[in-house]
Order: sequence, then structure tokens, then C-alpha cells
Amino acid sequence: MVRLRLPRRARARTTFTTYHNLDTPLVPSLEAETDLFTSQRALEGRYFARQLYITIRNRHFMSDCSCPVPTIYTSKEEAIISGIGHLRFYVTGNDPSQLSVVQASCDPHWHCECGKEYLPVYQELIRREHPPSLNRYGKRVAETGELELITENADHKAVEKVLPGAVHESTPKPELPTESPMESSWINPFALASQALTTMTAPLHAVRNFISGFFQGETNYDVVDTRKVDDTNGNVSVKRLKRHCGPSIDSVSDELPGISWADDATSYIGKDALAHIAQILHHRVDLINRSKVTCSHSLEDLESRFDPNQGEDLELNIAIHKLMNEAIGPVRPSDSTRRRESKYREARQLYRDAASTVYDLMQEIYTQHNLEGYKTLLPKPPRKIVYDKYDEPDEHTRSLQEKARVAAEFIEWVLRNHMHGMEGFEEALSKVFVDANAVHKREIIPSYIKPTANESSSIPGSFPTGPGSAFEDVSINDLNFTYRWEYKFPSTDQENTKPTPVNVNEFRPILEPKGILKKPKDWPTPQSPKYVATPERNRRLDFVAPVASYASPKEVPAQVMSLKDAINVQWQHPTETQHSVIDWENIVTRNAGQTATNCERFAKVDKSRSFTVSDASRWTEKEVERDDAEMGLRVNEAKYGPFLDDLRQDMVEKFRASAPTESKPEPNIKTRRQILQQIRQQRKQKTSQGAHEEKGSRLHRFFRKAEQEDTMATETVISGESQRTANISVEQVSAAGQVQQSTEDDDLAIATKKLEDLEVNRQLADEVEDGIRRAIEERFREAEKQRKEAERKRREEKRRQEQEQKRREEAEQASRTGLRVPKRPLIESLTNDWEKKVAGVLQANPNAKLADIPDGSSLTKRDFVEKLLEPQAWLNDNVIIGSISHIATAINQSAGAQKTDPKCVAFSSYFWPRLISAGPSSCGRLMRREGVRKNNFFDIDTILIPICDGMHWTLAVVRPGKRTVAHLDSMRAGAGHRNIKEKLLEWVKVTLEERWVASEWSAIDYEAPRQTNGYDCGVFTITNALCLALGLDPKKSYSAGQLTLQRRRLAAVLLNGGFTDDFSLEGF
Amino acid sequence: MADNAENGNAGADAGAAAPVEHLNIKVTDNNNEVFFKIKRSTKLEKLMTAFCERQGKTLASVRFLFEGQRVQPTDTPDTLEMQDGDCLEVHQEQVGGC
Repeated sequence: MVRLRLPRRARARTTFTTYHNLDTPLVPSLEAETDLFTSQRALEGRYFARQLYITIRNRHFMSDCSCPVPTIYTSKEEAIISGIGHLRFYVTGNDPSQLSVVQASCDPHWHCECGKEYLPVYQELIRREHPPSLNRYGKRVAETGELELITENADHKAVEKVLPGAVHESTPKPELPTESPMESSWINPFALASQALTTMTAPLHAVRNFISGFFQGETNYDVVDTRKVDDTNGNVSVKRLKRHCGPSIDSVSDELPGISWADDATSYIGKDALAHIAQILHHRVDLINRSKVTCSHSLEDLESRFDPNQGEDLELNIAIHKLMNEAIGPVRPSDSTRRRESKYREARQLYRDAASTVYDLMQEIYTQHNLEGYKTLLPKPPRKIVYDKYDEPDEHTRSLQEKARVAAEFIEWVLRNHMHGMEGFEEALSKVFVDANAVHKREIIPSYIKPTANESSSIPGSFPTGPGSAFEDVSINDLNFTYRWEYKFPSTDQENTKPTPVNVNEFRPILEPKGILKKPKDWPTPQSPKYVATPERNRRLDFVAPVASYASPKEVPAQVMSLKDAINVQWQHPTETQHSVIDWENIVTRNAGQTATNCERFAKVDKSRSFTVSDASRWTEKEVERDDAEMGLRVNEAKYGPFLDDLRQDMVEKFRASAPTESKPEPNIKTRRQILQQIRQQRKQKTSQGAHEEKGSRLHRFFRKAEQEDTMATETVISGESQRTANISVEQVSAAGQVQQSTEDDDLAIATKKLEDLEVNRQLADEVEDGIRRAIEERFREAEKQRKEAERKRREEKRRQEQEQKRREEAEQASRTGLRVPKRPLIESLTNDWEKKVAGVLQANPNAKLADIPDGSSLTKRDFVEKLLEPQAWLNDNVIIGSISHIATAINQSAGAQKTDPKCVAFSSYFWPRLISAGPSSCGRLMRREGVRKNNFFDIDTILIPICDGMHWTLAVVRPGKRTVAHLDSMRAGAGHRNIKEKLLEWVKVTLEERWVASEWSAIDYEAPRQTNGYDCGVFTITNALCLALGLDPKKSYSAGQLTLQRRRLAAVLLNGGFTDDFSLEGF
Repeated sequence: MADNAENGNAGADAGAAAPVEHLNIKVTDNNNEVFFKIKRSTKLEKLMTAFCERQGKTLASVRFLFEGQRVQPTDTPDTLEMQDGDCLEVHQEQVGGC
């Protein structure tokens, strides 16, 4: 038993953010396989490792355990040397079916890291896998080549061969490691409790494996949770910590072999270094105490503002700044001056307390007096300073331990991050850290001991001496992860077949660290739409980012229409069947024409929206606009509008240019003569052209002659020109007359003339044919026009009939529900004055009573703004009751009804809960208050009952005059709930007593606009109430899109104090 | 507003004994019951404020109901014709939207 007698100067502060388990690492026992493990492995044989692995994996994947699945190592050596965890799996000979397992530390129930037991799950798995073939001990029946366990204690002598073909073999001995006992495995001296490390577990395990694999034996490495990313090359490095192991826990004694007391407490670290550290700490504490510290919100500011003449220490300033950022939180721009000051103050205090704690502790530990005390108490240094259980450590010792913890953490923080001003003292500081840690853990202080006999035996928990200090940075890329495989199980169905050769490539080595070490891929940033060339079309709007509301110009015409309009536009596609004789030119023309027509149609639709929709009552202009706005079309229109107009114009012009101006000229009446002249002129030209060759030829002469004769025969009246021609002809004739004429010539002339006749006749026939065709076409067009006219008339007639039908239906419905269409719009926009007044509510005093409602309550700003005017506000009872009772008041006033005999009654929204909870008979007070009695019940036109049921406002309506009850739920487009209507009927029945005639009364549904959002039901309820009180059909009186306006209208009505003056209900 | 109620309850009151100066009124919101002793002519605002303070609620978010009728701060037991032992129910403000 050792008691440290140290001066009571403890001043500890415990507000460091992270707490690390600062256990000294110990070499674990390798003789750690438990009996259970051994026996189970003997029982399961080669399946054992697989079963166990499946167990663990299942445990991890199916339960809430988030520990990593055990690593599978490539060899047994690796598993033992560098493996982690107490169950270490490895594959033998690159064959995944040959999975083996060793247990490296003693854990009877096979826990995972978070403390969950594997054993029950494993046993369950064994049972489930072989339910029918369990032997009487509940163990699996052995397969071929296996041995069956028949006694429970797994004594190999009790194992007998049960299957004839099986080879008798002894129970496999536990595969004990043959390595030297000093080969340590990694244990967790710094099981960092911080969250950051937990998330990094997977990669860090690999790091640990690697590190411990290399430096097993006398040094342990621990990766502390500091990682650095080099900005220049993006390399990630981790900081690791080297420490010597203590002796194995197998040595039971408390002795430290090969270790004796040191001569001087300061010799291990060095007197100078200690003095220097103490001096720095003292100086810093002094500076803080004298307020010679500047704090700032940023490091740059701190550095720029630093003035060496002030006597301050920049390093200290930086250290305090970093400590503040880490332990207290950075100063945010939003922080007030006071908050900043408090942060600065806190950081200073924290640093001062921690530094002075370290200083105190150093003063206490590194004195010869203490060491001498130890020496006198104990001849040989013990492993731990054990307190007798009857002699608990006194308060001073406890506070010292606490102080040591704080000091250790502070030094660790300094070592890890901020060696400002202490460069060159890492090693010394590390040793101080270890000593402080030992004090905290009640272990022997490493500075007090030294190796005696064997120079190589190191001081447990100490850091290796030498140039590489306790901490060193290792690039994560330098660490070899390749031996960590993701294990793939061979199919269990084929376990008796020969193991197939394993393709090592199937095992995916995990080369990249997972978790937060991995840099996330760059997310694609949304970009603006841009033109890209595509193979199909030259230019097409394409979008890098998925922007739903855009469309390519190809579909631009459709873009400016709402979906509903598009349905109603009649598309005229040229049908192939009508043009069975392919007339390409025609088709092209017609298609172009069609395109232009469509373009014009779109232009029309776009500009004026003067298209007709088949059901005018279905969509109003506003609704269409709203739909468009919802679909984002308006936005595009503004953006692309000019572009679309240009496109349209282009197309129309193109069409006009391509279309034939007039296919045929007007049928001019051509005389035979004109035709003839034409023919001759052509011929004459030809003659003059070919004059050289044909002059003198016979044919030429005959032509001449025939010409001459014909001219004489037909042309009686001739112009001067023709006279000249005639003269020439005469000359020619005379000249020709000199030529001897043969009868052959005459014949030829006649033949030529006939030919000419034929030609003329043909042309004439053509003309006639043309005329006929034109006439036919004319007639056809006429017929077409008539047909169209008839069709139009028929359509009009049909429409008229439909309207008639609809009117009849409406009338019918109106007679049934007693509702009509309003004569003027129910929800009109507010005047500017009222808009201003409504907007003025936002500036009102929160406590002011802005309006009174008939039941005596007052509305405040809260009711108006939060419960009505905000576009998505949910209405509260004040607004509902106020509005509905205003409706009733207005109706009664216009009908001149007395308060005792109202025409319209509005109950408060608390009427319904009362009716439901207390029953109809206990509503007398409320009914009397509203003037509803048995005797005047039938004189009431409308009873309005707002219902708030589960955050939803609905309206119950009783119309005693019509003997109907109804319930309007805006979510169901006016349809109500049956049980509510039943309750209403029950209430009417109780109220009417003997005047109740069950057969007269009916529960009906009204139609109303449907609510499609999650906030407007109150407004629907009030507006429905207004409609029904006025006898209007809600569906035809307003639309859901008007309700934002209606909110302001209702606010105006409430401010106005009822439906008076500007909001009069007359004239609907 | 209380005219009707007075008319309706006139007969009942006439039969009762001379009105007591102080009334015991129970205020309940299903979870809690608080008893108040108030004068007949005291405005119920006092009671409502006291209850809200006690329960940590704001007056704007609760509704006091007497037999289903909303109680205004200006009401008194007289105007509501309350009797000894009557109960005021406290309801949450009704809000609805969907």
C-alpha cells in the first residue's frame, strides 16, 4: 500500500472536451483461448470458423450493433501478430472455404466491441442450421469425417467414431500460436471515446493492424484522432503515438521484472527540459493572470494585431485561441460582444487552470522527496499502487489523481495540436504526460524507475526515446491495406464438393479508406440551361441540371398552352388514306399549310387566349393562368416570349413563301385564232432559227403555203401589222407561185393544216376541260361550304341542347338543394382602402383589440396575422366564429328578423364538442342564446355549425325549411361524413320533440370546391357557410384559387365589423 | 348577450335560496382541477388569468367555456348565472387547416 503524501495544492478543472482512456498498454496473453472456444472448435471442426463468422456477421447486420465485422486475415501469422479483437479469422491457403479462427484473448462469451455477446446467437445459429440432426446433447450430428460429441465436457477421450467411413482422429488441438510471447497484439490504450474516432473505426482498424504488425514486440502504436490533409496534394496523414508495453498480464505478480527504482526523479526526462517547461508554464500563467493576453475572433486578426511591445506572447495568444475553438466553440459573427467576452474569458481561464495544474503536478512529482518516500515504502517498484480496500485513498490523493488526469489531457492536447512556444520539448512533454497518466491510473510513475539487469526492457507505458518523438505523422497512403479482404462465402449447398480454385481477384481489397477519411466526390453543381448540339437536331435546348419547368424549343408551341387547352385544340393531321395517289408536292404544301395553321392557332392561343374550350364553365381564365403559373409556364413565357413570337413569325412566313400563289390562272377565253397565232409564232421562231438549214426545203415551203392559205381564210380584219404580214405573205405566195407546185405539196399543206387543227382542238379541249374542272371544283367547294355550314349548325344545335340539358339539370339540382348561382362574383378583390387597412394590421399593437365579434370576444393582431392573413395560416376559432356569426347577423338584418326569431343561426365552434360530449339535451343554454327553439325551428332557414375535429374545420348545415342536414368537408369537395349527419339528425330530433317527422328529413351532400392544400380548410368552411346562408351553390360561387384573396376579404370584414357597407350581402 | 340566458334561467333562480355572496367555482382542463372562490360580481378575467398563470398558459391560447358557452373576460358569475359548484371547462384554442 502506497500513499502519496503531496502538498494540497490541487486546483483542477475538468472541462476538457474529450476524455481518453489512458490505460497503459499491456502485452496480452496468447494462452487465452477459453475452454468453450476450444470445445466448440473441436465440435464444429472446419465449420466452426465459418459458423462463428456468420454469427458475428448476422449479429452485426441484423441487430443494432454497429461494430465493424471482424477482419479476415490472409494468414494465421498475420491474424495473431497484427490482428485485432479477440476473435481473429484467417483463410488458409487463399481458400475462403478454409476459414479458421483463433481466440487471442480471454473472453468466455465472445463479445463484440460494444459488449454484445456472440455466444447465444451462435448457438441459435447452430440449432437453426441443423434442427433435425441434433444428438441427445443438443449438439449437431457429425457429418462424414467428423466426430460426434457424446459427452458434454468435450473430453476427446469420450469422442467415438459414429460413422463407418469416418477417419478416427483425435480432437483437434487448439491451434496455439508458436510465436514468442513477447509478440504483442494491439490493445487499446487510447480507446478514444470521441465520436470522431468512432466513425473512423473501420479505416483506423486497418491502420492499427498495420502499425501494430510492424512494431509488435516492444512498442505499441496508437493512432490518435488527428488527421491532416495536405492542401497541396490532398494526402491524408494520421498522427500516431508510440509507447512501450508493460509486461504481459500473464505474470500474476505485481513485480516489474528487470526494473528498479531510479536514482533521480528528474533524470529520465532531464532537469533542463523540466525546468524549461515549468518556466514556460509559469510564464504563461503569469501572463494570463496579468491579463496580458489578447483574444480575437480569428487567427489572422490575432496575428496582425499582435504588438510585441505590449509584453504579450503571441504563441500563448494562438494557443488560447485554438483552445477556445476546440473546447468552448469559435466566436461567431452573430455573437454579441458580451458573449464574445465570456468566451474569451472562459478560454483564458481554461488555459490558465490547465497550465497551472500541470505546473503544480510537475512541482509535486519531480521532487526527490517523493521518490525517496516510495523507495522507503517499497523495496522494488510495483506494477500498480494498490490501496488496501480498508484504506481508501484520501481526498487529497483523489484530487491529485483528478489533477493528474487534467494535466495529462492538457499535455496530450498540447502535444497533439499546438506546440506553440514549446517546440523541441515534445519528448520531455510526452514523458511528463506519461507520468501524469500514471499518477492518474495509480500506476508506478515511469520517471521513478529504470531498467536494471536487462538494458532492453523498457519502461511500461513510456515513449521510446530517440529522434522520432512520441507522435509522428504517417501518410495514410503509405499504409498497406491490401490484406484486409471482404470475405465472400462459398455456397453452403456445395460444401461437400471439391473446393473450387479461388480467384483472388474476387476478393475486393479495400484500398481506399472508408468513412470520413474518404473525400466525398464532388457533387454536380446545378448549372444554367445551355444550348448543346445533338446529332438529331442542330440546336436543342438541353439541360445539365434537371430543371423540370423547361422544355426544348421543339415543343415550344405546346409550352404556351396549358394542358387543358391543348386537349381542346383540334389537331388536323393529314391522313394518308385521303391521298392514296401520292402527290408529293401537294402533300408538302398541305403540310406546310397545316403547320402554319397550327402556328397561327398557337399564336392566337398565346396572345389572346380567345380559343373556345368545350366546357366554358370548367376553367376560367384565371384558373388557366393560375395553372400556367403553377407549371412555371408564365416564367418561361416571359423569358422565351420574344423568341417564340419570332419562331412563329418565321414559320408563317416560310409557309407563305412556299405555298403556290395561285395554282391556275383565271380561265381566260382564248379564241382559236389566238391559239393559232401562238402556235405559228412559235413555229416562225423555229423557222427563223433553222433558216439556214431549212430554207428551200420542201417542208419549209409547204409550211409557208399553208400559213398563207390559212391567213387568207381566217383573217378577215387585220391590223396594219398583219397587213404587212399579209403583204409579205402575198409576196411569199407570189414568190412561191414561181416555184412549181406539185400536188404532193398541196397534200402536204393540207396535212399540215390538219395537224394544226388537231393541235388547236387539243388545246381548246384542254381549255374546256380546265373550265369544267374549275367548275367542278367550284361546285365541290360550294358543297363543302354547305356541308360545313350544316355541320356547324348541327354542332351549335348540339351545344344548345347540351346547355339546355345542363340548365335543366342545374335547375333540377337547384330545386333539390335549393341553391342557385350567384348573380355577381362572390369573392371580389378589395378596394385599395381596404387593402391598406388590412395591411395595416401587421403594424398593429399586439395587445390592441382590433375587432369585436358578435359573441363578445375581441380579435387581436395575433388572430388576424397568425391565424388568418398569413397565406398558409390555420384559422382559429375566433376567426371562424367571428366570420360565421357575422354572416348570420347580416342575413338576419337583411331579412329583418328579430334576434329571438332568426332566419340564419350561427353556432359557436364549441357547440359541436358540447353536443358530442354532453348530448343534445345539454345544449339548451347555447340554443337559447342563439334563439333556437322548438317552436321557431322551422322558421329558420339555415343553421351553421362550424366543427373543428382533429385540426380540420368543417361545416355542418341544417336547413329546417328544406328539412335537410348536411356536412361539408372541403377535403372531400363538399361531401360530408355520415356519422356527423346522423348526429345532426339526432340533435334535430331531440330539439323538435313531437314536431319531428322522420320521413321529412334527409341528409344530403352539397358540392363545393375541393381543398387541395393543407391550410385552407377554415377559409373553405367560412365561404361555404356564406354560400349556404345566401342560398348559393358553393361550387358555382367560388373556386379554390380565390381563397388567398378571401383571407384578406375576411380580415376586412372582421375589421369592418360585419358584412355591411362595402361587404353587403345584398345582390347575390 | 346574456339576456336570453337570464330569461331562460329566471324561473330556476327564483326558486333557489338567496344568492350566496361567494361562489366556489371549479376550473378544469381535463388534467387539472382548480377551485376558485370568487364573488358573484367579480369579473371572471381575474379567475382566468390566475388559472393561466398557474398552468403556464397564455390567455390567448385557451378558451373558457361555461356549459359550452365561451366565457368572456368581462363576464361575471352573475351575468352567466353561475351557481355554487359550477364548473368552467378550459379548452385549447381550436385551430384547423387540413
